[in-house]
Amino acid sequence: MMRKHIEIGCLFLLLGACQEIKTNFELPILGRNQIATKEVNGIFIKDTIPHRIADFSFINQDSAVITNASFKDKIYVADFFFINCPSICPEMSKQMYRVYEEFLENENVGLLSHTIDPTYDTVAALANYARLLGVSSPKWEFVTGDKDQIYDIGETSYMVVANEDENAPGGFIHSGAFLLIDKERRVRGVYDGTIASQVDLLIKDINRLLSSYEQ
Amino acid sequence: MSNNYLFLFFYLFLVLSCNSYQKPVESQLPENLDEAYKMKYTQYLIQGKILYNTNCTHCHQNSGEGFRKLYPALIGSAALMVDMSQAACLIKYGTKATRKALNQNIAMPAQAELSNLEIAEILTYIGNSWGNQSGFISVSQVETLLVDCATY
Repeated sequence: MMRKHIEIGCLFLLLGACQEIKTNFELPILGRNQIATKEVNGIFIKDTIPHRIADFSFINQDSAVITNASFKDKIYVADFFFINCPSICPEMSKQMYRVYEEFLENENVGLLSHTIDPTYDTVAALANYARLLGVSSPKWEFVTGDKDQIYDIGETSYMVVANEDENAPGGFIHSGAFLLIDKERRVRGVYDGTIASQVDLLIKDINRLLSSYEQ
Repeated sequence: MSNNYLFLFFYLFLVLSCNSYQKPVESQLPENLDEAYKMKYTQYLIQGKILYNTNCTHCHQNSGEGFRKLYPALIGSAALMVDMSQAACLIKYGTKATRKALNQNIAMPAQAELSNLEIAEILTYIGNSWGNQSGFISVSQVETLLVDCATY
């Protein structure tokens, strides 16, 4: 009888192992806080300001200007890529496409891919890329712009590596990270865009973040 | 006793069902080959698969299925079935060599560092996997296939 109980216990343990562990936590707010000091009526007041994505202005695949306002009231996933990238970008595009399909009908979610090779990846090249991939704006924005501005926002706002490097495959060094940005322009998650299981987690976290706005 | 075995099998089933099992893709070898030829053929298929996994899977995917319209599928590819020289030139020189034919697609990078032997192994592998049946491609064949790349 006892043995039977143990066996049934084992069974549940195994069944449980197949399932994800359910967690009910809030996503962290990533990045370094800044302490700002301001003077109010002669008194200095210190205030904690969380890390936020800086103001930006880029051009998308349809020649439209894309700014922070384009993602107003949306959460979005950002990444950095270039079309002639021989290494990780094809996998990143494939994984980002999964996110695209998953949230195609949800207008609260957007995707933002920055090219780090604006010399080659013109608006026309990006439009062709989006067409071949079968995706469109405004769900998935492919943006180009001033090279230094792209590298700068990558490294200071999204906290990922994006730069030229003649020793890297294709001539550019960049991270394969997907960044989850909330409606307050804060970074809420970093995922490896070349690993399917990481993107599974991203999709779950997007849903988690979305539901936090519904409460 | 038999009850225990039943449980054991059930556990095993559960454990196995947690892992996703991927069916290996078999490359096909024509029948009735003599032993020496068959051995060389198999060697090319194995080397070709290793080279394919390093150099080609990023875009063309593990089973040659490609991705969307960005990265063409190799399964049933005309470049492999009809015009093998186009496939050889694409691998060696990228789409610059075949720009005229493929100007609608994004560029395929040149892989000039691949030797003719390596190209032969890759062509033999992709030409005879996932249902493709283009037969054995030798090094000397690759040399011939690469002669006219500039005309593409």
